Amino acid sequence: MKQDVNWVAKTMRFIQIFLFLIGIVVLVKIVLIKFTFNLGNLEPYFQPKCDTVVIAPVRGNILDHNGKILAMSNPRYTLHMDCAIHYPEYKKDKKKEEDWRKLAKESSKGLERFVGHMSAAEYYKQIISNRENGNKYWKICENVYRETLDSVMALPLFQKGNNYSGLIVKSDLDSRSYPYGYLARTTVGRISRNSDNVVRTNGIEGKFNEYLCGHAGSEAVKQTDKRKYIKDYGKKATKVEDGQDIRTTLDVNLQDIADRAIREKIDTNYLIEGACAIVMEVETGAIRAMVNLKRDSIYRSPLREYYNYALLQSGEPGSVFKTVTLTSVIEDGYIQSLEETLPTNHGVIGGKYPIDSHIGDYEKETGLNQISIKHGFEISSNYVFAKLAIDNYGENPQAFFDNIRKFRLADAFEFDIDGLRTPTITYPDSKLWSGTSLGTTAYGYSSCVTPLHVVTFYNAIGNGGKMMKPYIIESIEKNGHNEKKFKPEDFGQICSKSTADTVKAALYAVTHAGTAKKLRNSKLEIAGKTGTARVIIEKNEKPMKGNPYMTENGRRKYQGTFVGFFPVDKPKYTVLVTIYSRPSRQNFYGGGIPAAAVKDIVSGIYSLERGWGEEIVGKTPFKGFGNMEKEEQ
Amino acid sequence: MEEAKMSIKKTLLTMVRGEWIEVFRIERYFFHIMTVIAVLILTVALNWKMDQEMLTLQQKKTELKMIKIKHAGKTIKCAEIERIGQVKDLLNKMGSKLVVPEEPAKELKK
Repeated sequence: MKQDVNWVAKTMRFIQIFLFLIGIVVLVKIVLIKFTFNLGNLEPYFQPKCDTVVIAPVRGNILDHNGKILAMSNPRYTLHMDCAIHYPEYKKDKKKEEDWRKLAKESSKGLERFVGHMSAAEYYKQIISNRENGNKYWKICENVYRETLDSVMALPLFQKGNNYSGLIVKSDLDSRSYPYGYLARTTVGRISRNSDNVVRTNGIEGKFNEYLCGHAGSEAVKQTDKRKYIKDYGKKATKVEDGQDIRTTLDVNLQDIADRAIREKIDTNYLIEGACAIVMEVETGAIRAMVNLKRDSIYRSPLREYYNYALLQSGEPGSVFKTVTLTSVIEDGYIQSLEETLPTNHGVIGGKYPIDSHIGDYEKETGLNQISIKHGFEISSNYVFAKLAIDNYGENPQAFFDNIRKFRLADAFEFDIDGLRTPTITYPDSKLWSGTSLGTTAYGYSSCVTPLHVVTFYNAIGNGGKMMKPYIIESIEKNGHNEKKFKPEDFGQICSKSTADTVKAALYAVTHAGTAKKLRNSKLEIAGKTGTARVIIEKNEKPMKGNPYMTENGRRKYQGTFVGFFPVDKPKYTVLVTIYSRPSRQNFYGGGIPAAAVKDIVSGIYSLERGWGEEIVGKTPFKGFGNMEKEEQ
Repeated sequence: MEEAKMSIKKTLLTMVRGEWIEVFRIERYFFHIMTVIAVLILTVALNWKMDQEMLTLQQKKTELKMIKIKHAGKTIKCAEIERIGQVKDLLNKMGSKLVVPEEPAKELKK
């Protein structure tokens, strides 16, 4: 018995010693691992998965004057389907294949409803034929919003997961949406990436890209036990800064009215290449609408917004420039009244200028040999304005050009969108100056200006001689708060108020008895001027040698303009419409179409904008509908 | 020196015999040891809980992002149909006699 006890005690001691030694070994190993062992490449496998993710900023919105969204970032999705998924396997198991096809058939109804490119039967037919043909990448739809994606993913087949249905979703998180489609797209601009991922922008998107794009952030993330990633607060993070919003002066309603008015006039007139319309607020110079519509070179191509005529199309303005001459001679005191007369002389000035047929007609009609400046302006006589310039500035033409410079028609001023062309003016010291340059400039040739320059000048006349600097950006905002506010700026008084009033009266005569008399019965009284000019043929259109206004095959291009302001007594808006013709053999009298478009624009503004309607003054204060009902009872 | 050798031998023997805890009277530090263990357990539990909360936060953030995306989509859709031209076309398409007003609205003044 005693021997047994000794044996047990010895065994237990042996186990104790053994465990003790193991303990020592483990302890030593721990110390060694802690201080000497290097995990090397294995280290990542012994630590939780960490990563640094870049957080892309959300690009800012572009808003109109009233806060309506003109451009915003919104992810778009393109859906493909691996129609042949599990097909080789299910071919052997008819039940499984039947189930898959049954779900596909049910889902086709949903595709018809949510995507809608085809009928349900056609969708099903496509899915099955692609399945049998082994198509692993059949496109269901592209550029759809999240809502459509969610609806599609909730369909019976796709609900089962992508590994069963074969749905492949490709997202474009940086996609830009323009809720109003092509409305003001040239002004709003575009942003695109080429194959090398280089961002290309223009318009407001381009000019204000640094405000809109924001700054990317980064944060460290670690993997949890559930293999999901969470933010690792222990590591350094850079805060993402979303882009700022840009509020423009544009008014979507006015833009729509102007866009529609132009489309209605020229949409099916394929001889017209394009058109431009600008609506500017007289008092501030804020651009409320800027329409730029152009067709491709294909004859029946639709009008699209892709070329900014307003800033880029520097052309000879034609008769709308006569207002500049008139303002100049009145401001310099050469004429005191619009009723002053000039000798008609059958419309001939020294043989150097083309004979003005308007004067011949006038002489025949009236039998007079004198014409008033006002009537000359009404009938848009080239003779009258060439004579005015020659008689008054013939000795010192530089004085006339100094006035043109003062009217800001000779330089490209700073504008919120890049690309405003510098006008081309033929000065007396220029190599291109000829004996007729003064006269032709006076009636709108020999000098090239952009529509924006013209509208800015007319706006100054409407504003009593004070020229406002045109602007299109109202403020830069962040989360609805102004970060930077742009106030209206002016270029100063370009002429006296009395000069502006006299010119205004002349412009009013044009719309009531002159070339724009179709505007006589418009909803609001307009004062303005029409103008038609030949357009210089560009090199790619093959101009005729010695005649830059005609193509090799005898076609001409014209531009027709109407520019004016309304209502005459207290102008609120200045509006310009210019249309550009394609090379054609037809004669083109351009003032009519722009004037008709302006009439529609004025009607639209009159009926839809607040402030034009009659004011009704109530006899008793309005107490709310609840009280009225009680009173009736 | 001899005493030190004896002391080490005695200590090792007590360890081998399993009487080490008893000799050093570890039971005096029992509360401290239990506290350390409790703190360790608490730390692990809190870490786990924090991860869970962070995970929920991450999920909510993703949900919020989705809602924002859906909201943006709806805003765009609304903007698309509120355009005057679009309203005109829709009314026309529906055969409605309602047209865009030709006269401005009369304004009530107090």
